[in-house]
Order: sequence, then C-alpha cells, then structure tokens
Amino acid sequence: MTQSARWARKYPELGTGPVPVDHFVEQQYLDFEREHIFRTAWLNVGRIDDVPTPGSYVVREIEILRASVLVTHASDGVIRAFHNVCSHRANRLVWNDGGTCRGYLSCQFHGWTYDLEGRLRGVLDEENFFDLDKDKLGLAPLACDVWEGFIFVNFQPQPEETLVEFLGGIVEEFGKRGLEQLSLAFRYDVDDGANWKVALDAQNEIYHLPVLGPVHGAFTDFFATNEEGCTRFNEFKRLGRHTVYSTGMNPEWVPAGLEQLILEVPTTPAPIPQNGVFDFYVIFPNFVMGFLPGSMFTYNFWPVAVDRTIWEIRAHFPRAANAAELVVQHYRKARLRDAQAEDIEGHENVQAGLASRAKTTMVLQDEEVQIRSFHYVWRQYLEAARGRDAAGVA
Amino acid sequence: MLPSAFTDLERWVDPFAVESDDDRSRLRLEWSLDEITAFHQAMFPRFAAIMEHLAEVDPRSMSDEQRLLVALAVTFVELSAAVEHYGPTGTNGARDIIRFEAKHGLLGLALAR
Repeated sequence: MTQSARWARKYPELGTGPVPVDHFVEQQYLDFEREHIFRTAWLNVGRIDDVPTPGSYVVREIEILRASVLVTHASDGVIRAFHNVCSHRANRLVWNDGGTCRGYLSCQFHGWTYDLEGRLRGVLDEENFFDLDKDKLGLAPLACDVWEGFIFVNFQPQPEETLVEFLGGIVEEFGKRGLEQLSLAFRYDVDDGANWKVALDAQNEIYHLPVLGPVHGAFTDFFATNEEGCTRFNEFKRLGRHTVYSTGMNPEWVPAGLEQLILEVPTTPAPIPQNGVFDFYVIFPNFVMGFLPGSMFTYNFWPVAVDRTIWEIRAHFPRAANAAELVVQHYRKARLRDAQAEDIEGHENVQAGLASRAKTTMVLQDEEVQIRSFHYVWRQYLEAARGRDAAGVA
Repeated sequence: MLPSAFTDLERWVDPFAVESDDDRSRLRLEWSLDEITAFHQAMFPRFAAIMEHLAEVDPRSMSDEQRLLVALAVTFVELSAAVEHYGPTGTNGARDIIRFEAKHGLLGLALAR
C-alpha cells in the first residue's frame, strides 16, 4: 500500500493488484463487448447541437453494432432515434451525415418517404404492392432519451433501465450545471490504431502529464502537483458504474507567452460549477465529459476492431460573440488537440506492447484509480454475461 | 487584402492565412521552425490590436478582409505551440495532428451558428 493510498482506502472493493490485459487484444472480448456492453448500455450519440431545430437530423454510424442510427428532431419538438434502414428492402435511408429537411426524408433507392416521427408517409407506385399497410412499415425505432442536452440511444428493444437509472449517481452529482451556455464549436474524428479501452485508459489518468510531451508539460504546470511534479486529484468519485476525477489548479501558475495575451481577450463568461479546475467524467462505457473553466470537451471512443478505434472529440464553448472570441476558442481547441496528438502515439505504442503478449497484466498506482474502476465495472459485465451463459439465458 | 490597420502583416498572408485545420497542420509540419518562428515574432506584438479589431466583428458576417485577418490570427494561435512549446525540442509538434479529421468546417464557422 502506498503512503497515502487515498483512493484505494476510499474504494477498497477495487483492490490494488495488477489488472489482466488479455481483453485489449483478443477478439473474443470485443465480441463480448458488442453483445453485452454496447448492445445493452445507453450510448451517447451526440448532443442537441446535432439536431438543434425541428426538421434537423443526423446520422451516426455505430460500427461495433453494424448499425446506422438516424436521430431526428421532429416538429413536435421530440428527439427520436431510428435504425437508418428503409422498410422496403432495408437500404440505408439517409446517405449523408445529416442536415435539415422540410419534415420528410426519402430513400434514394425507390423513394419511400418517412416523416421525422418515423412514419411511412409515401410509397412510389403504391398501388402495385400487395396489401401494403403503411402504418406497420414505419422506421424501426431505438430507445432514445436526452439528459442535459446529451442524446443517448439504447439498442435493447426494451431497455432494462431508463437513461436516468443507467446514469445513476451522475444525475445527482451533475445537478444543474447550466450546460445550455455552451455550444458545440469544434469536432474531430481520429482513426486511432488501438483498442478503445487503451485509448480511454490513457485519458483516464494524468499521471503521464509531466512526461509525454511539451504540451502535456504545459498542462502539468497549470495543475496542482506534488513536489515531484506529479499531479494529484483533489477528488475521485465512483458514481455507480461511472466515475469522475478532479484536479486542482497550481496556485503558483503564471501564464506565459501567448497564453498571457489570450487571457487578456474579453470572452463570454460561462460559469459552469466544477469540483476542481479540471473535471473528467467517464460515463460507462465509452463517453467522456471533461470540464475546464468556461468550456467542455467530450470524447466518444467507438470500437471498430480489437485494435482500432474512432476517437470522436468535441469542444464546446459559449457561442462566440465576436471574431476575437472565435480566435480564442481556436487557441483553446488547438492546445487540447496538440495534447491529444501527443497521446495518439502513446495509445498505439501501448497497443503494440499488449499485442506482443509480453505482459499478462498491467500495474496501476493510486492516481490511476479511474482506470481501475473502469476495468472493475467492465469485469462485472463480463462475469454477469458468463453467469447468464452458464444459466443458459445469454 | 487585410484591413487597413494591418497592412504591415500583409507579407504573411501567403502562406499563413489559411482556413482549414488540415492546411494549418500541414503548414506547421512542413515549414521550418525558423520560418514559423519569424511569423510568430511578427504576429505576437500585433495580437492585442488584432483582437481589439476583431472584437467588433461578427464571425457570422465577416467581410473578405476581416475573414483574412481571422484566418491569419487562427494560424498564429495554432502554430504558437510549435514555437513556445516544441521549439526547444527541435520539432514543430506531434506529427499526428494531421490525423485529426476536422468536422467543423473552414475556420470553425460551420458550427459557429
């Protein structure tokens, strides 16, 4: 046990031993994740910014489930989700990424037309079909709910939990943060040559900050650290299967270079309550909400293969009131992007090391507790699935 | 052309006033650190004045001159890490920045509704 072991003492159920790593490299575990995690959990597929007005829609590809999801904002104000599949012969209904329509979407194969509530409204050459009942041929719906502006879907026909039940302690922890002050400003997708859990683990600690690269080093100066320059959380909480770590600010931090000039530019205030200067929430399994003063970033780690992930990165700021504020937001976006670019090589090098089978376990320290908690929950899912298999109910 | 108050920066418009993340990342990775440093040194003392000017500009309805100035300023802030953080390492930054596929349009304006 380390001298402090703050988090190990707070959450003794997580243990302190090494964690197996075979689930980063073996296909059988990706297959398990597909059926028992991604097909059962509530998955974030975007934010209200993606479908801001009635008539807007967006398409999200969920590669691990071989699914294309159509999210719509209908004239009744309700956000809905459907399989993006035409009821005629299962063609993809919408072929672009999204946009705004006049309330109807037509299949580009034979022109079958649906409204944004999913009802089949028009069939080309309808008289030539046999006993066609349009009321029974709407789009296949997905369970969909919105929390704090975040859109979630669930692939279970009847989800075992509501979204609020699934989020559990996160809802109470979050309270009313006033996220409507923030708008989606930037979005990147990165094709990352690592298992999705490798990519997530790398973000789930900031132990690496003093070492990984110069931009990480600059963040280290900003955060509270011990005498060795190692970051120390001021809080870590398990909230059911979800977690948050928070870091305080270095009281002796002095802005330098362009940072100093940036801080002198007036920007729209966005007083979002935080636990520390940097709060990092992980909503199991693959969604992250990170908060820095006046801004929020989100990550979605989308598995594509056992060693490939699409890392979706979004940055949210107050709507830029003027062009100077837009430039400042680009600066903040680029700083984060530069740090993430330093991360990518790390992800892929870890994946290579794991794939070599040189090691069967990884060793975690106390400030890597959020990784430990994630894998603890992941293993609970695995054991539950094995239990169902053994009982013949999987 | 840049707004008249910034004609002294005109010589940097080509190649630095670009609008896409991809173009800025390529500039950063393909131009020498000396060239980027010269651009940084020219822009740094003018940045406060640029921000003061752009504080009066609506990003959703910019003139061509204003848009050019925004492009130059965004390239400056994005490339500054090459000079201020990576310079001492002799690199311009992580090469993986080129792998970030931007979905936010030129100058981020697709989402700055």
